[in-house]
Amino acid sequence: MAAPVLCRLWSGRRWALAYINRGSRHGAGTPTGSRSSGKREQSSVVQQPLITAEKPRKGEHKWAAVVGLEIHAQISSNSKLFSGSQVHFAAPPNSLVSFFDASLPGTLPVLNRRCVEAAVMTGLALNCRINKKSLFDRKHYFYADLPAGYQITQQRLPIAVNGSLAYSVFVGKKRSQVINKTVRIKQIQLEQDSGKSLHDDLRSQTLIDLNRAEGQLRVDANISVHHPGEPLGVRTEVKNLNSARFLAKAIDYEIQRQISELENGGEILNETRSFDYKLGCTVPMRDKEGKQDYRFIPEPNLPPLLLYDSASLPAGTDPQQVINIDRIRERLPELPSVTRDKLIQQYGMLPEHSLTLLNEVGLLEFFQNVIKETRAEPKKVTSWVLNTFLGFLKQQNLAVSESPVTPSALAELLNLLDRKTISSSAAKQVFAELWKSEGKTPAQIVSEKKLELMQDRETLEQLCHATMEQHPHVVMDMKKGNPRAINKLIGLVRKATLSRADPTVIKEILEKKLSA
Amino acid sequence: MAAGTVSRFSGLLGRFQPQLARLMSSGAHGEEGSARMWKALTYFVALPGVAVSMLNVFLKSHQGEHERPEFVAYPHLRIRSKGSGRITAEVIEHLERLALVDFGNQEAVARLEKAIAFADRLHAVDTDGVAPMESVLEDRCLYLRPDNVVEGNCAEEVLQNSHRVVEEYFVAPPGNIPLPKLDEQEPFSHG
Repeated sequence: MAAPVLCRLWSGRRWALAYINRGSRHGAGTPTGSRSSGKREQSSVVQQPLITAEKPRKGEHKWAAVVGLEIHAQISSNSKLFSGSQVHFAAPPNSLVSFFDASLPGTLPVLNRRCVEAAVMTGLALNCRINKKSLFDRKHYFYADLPAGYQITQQRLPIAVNGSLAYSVFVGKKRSQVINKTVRIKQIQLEQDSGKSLHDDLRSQTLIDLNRAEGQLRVDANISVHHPGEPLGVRTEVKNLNSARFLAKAIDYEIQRQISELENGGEILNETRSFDYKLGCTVPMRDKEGKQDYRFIPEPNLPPLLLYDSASLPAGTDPQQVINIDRIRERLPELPSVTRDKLIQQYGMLPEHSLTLLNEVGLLEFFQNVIKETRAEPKKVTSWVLNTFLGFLKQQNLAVSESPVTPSALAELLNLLDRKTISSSAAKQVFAELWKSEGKTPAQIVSEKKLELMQDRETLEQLCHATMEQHPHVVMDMKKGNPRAINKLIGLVRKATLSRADPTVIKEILEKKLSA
Repeated sequence: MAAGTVSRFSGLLGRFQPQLARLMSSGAHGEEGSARMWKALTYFVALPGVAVSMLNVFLKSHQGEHERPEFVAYPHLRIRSKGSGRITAEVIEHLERLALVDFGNQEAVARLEKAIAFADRLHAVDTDGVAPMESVLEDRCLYLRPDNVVEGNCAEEVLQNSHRVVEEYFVAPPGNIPLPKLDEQEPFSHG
């Protein structure tokens, strides 16, 4: 019943991670906490990064918090991890369920090749060591959405281990400083997802849908605190987190709760907690049964999963039945860090700008299309795309694909700006007009609104002269050496020209006149 | 039934007896002949056969060698209950919760203890330096299925097994029914 859902990876119990029910899911999991889903076949890949944060407190002892994340991500595939039923979001209940997914006796799991490839790709992208031999285990627990009573996972010897992920954080007052950090990935494992339960409290019943594939990414956090140098403290698991912001809040709250509890002489129970969004705090979830014992055993129906590389590939094997890690490595797309480095090299972009460009879906492509069609400098393009364009998008909460301004239109506008046909303030006006998507080109808007810069120097000089005569006291101020007076004069000239003159040219003319 | 089998067997033997007798008598002078036959068979068939089999095994052992990753033990392996092999009431309660079995009475617990003692005899085997076997399938190939949709779409059939169904959903009780603690009351047995 695993729908291949990626990403390791891992609903209450259901997890979609990856990879994961219905779809393949990848779940990132710690050895003890992988999400399991029932019958749906989902592959989940589980990875677990560990982050250590320093948390100094008043008092002699410092506290250090240790946080582990179990990430369940759904693998994108057509059929489930262990059965040939379809992976599809929002299908009628139980319509994507095969006999294996329903845990009917006599059915057996059959591993989906695509899910293994996806797991290997994830492992390679995260710098993991790919285990050439990995094993499947059963994780037992009772719940209505787990008809088999166990979930097939890879707890002991997963498909990939010991990886790392480098990432950047914006810090500082204006979030302008970038710090690079690394987090360890403990393991990536393939895992089934459990079914979906709908709780009907009114009639005191639960409705079970074994299709699985709820969402695409789920995270559980494991948190403990300890004094540096001493052994690790008891950890609690926080579930029911579905956004990065709440994840951060929940972790912060839990760290503080544990510290206060321990400083007041209490002790931390190894329990599962849930995050209450409204109150912004974690609350105990399961009944106090103590530690869950999952009674792991090797999955008797699945032999070990063997992977090969070009060196160890046995001759004369069916290519459909072997997985070559080197082949998969070749097929990996360009990773974001490589793309960012290229942008910085090629366009002299700042690292934080490259981060923003890559973090928005479709923005990089938009940027590259504009660059292709414009003569303007890359830095100008970067600034326009990241500030003006992105600003408009965010204001109206649109995705790049929904933008009313096409890359060609922006390119044309930037060309006009580059040739000094219009001033930058005029360009912003034109952009706002373009955003209304009335089908006009930038050139049309410029001519309609008469936004062209004055090209005729003589007329401009005459205007300057006229303005200076009209405002003799300002001229006197300037002659006295007041620097701000000239700005006032520039402003007056600009108004006279209806903003069609380049301020730098105006300044030049005025200064010449004054010195004359 | 056993008795019947024996009588049938002796009946069969009885039928062959005269035939055996004939063979014996005809082979009386051919006793040497048959001895020669068996000698020939031993030297020309049996021993070469054994040699070939040994060669086969020897060659196969090198072919199939691949290094095994270090054995990763389950955290719960080799847990021994303290004491003389008696299982505490705590462990019984824990097992009942985990596996939803009902040990019911002392006799059932005694049977469990005997089963564990029986399995404990495995420790008599010295396994130092021997890599543990993962499963009896460990030398088989794991079949990889292509990522095509070939099944599902049978909600009606799948739901047929359910005691209660609401709008194509299986119906289950609201949550796990918690088992009462041992000290609270008699643990009720599950169906």
